[in-house]
Amino acid sequence: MNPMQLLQAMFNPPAMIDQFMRNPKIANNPLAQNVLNMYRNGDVQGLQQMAENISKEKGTTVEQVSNDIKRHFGFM
Amino acid sequence: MPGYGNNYVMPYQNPQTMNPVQFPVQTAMQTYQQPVQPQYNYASVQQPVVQPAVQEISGRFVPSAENIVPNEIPMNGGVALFPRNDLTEIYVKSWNKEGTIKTVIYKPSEDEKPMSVEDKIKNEISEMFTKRFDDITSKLEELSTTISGFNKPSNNRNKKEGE
Repeated sequence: MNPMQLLQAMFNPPAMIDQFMRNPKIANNPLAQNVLNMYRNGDVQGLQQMAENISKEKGTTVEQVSNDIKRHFGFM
Repeated sequence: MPGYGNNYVMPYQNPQTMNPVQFPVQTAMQTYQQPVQPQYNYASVQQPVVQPAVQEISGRFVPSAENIVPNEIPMNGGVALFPRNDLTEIYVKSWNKEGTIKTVIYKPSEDEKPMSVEDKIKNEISEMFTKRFDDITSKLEELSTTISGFNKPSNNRNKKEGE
């Protein structure tokens, strides 16, 4: 993606998602495909559930991950 | 565009991919052309190059399934292979689209030779004979029980006569 395309995509999120979906790396990744589909359809509950599943598998919680990110960027 | 020909369209070309002989000429033309609205067409020139995917195997030998950490499983859609140290099982782990880890366990199977036709026939014949012998044996046992049944009353009768 060149800078022009990146700028265009920032002003057009659906197009950006389509572009991501066409990326061979994402096309072969069921997890990423599901995330993009849920984002496109506005399925917030599904995204939340997925975040909880991943956190649970990794032995942590969504809140803990969120706090870690905030701490990393100096918000806490 | 007067003086440059009507059908001249300046293509975008990466200087690194250009022919060394061609490059200075093109550069000169580009610099000369710039004031007259160059027509760059990024979308048509810069097509994403689809390279054949080289699949790498991730994973390691583990003493048991409990020793596998979720961070070892790639989130790029691939799988990770974890053979047990004693090679009794291989755990294949990947992330589901729901965000959970899917595990498939492979167990070894001995490489057995397929049975030949002759062996099959031999087996069938031996099975058939075994069955026949079993039938004959069971019939003989039946006969012996019936014969012993016939003999018992006659003995009693002889006993009575002797008394």
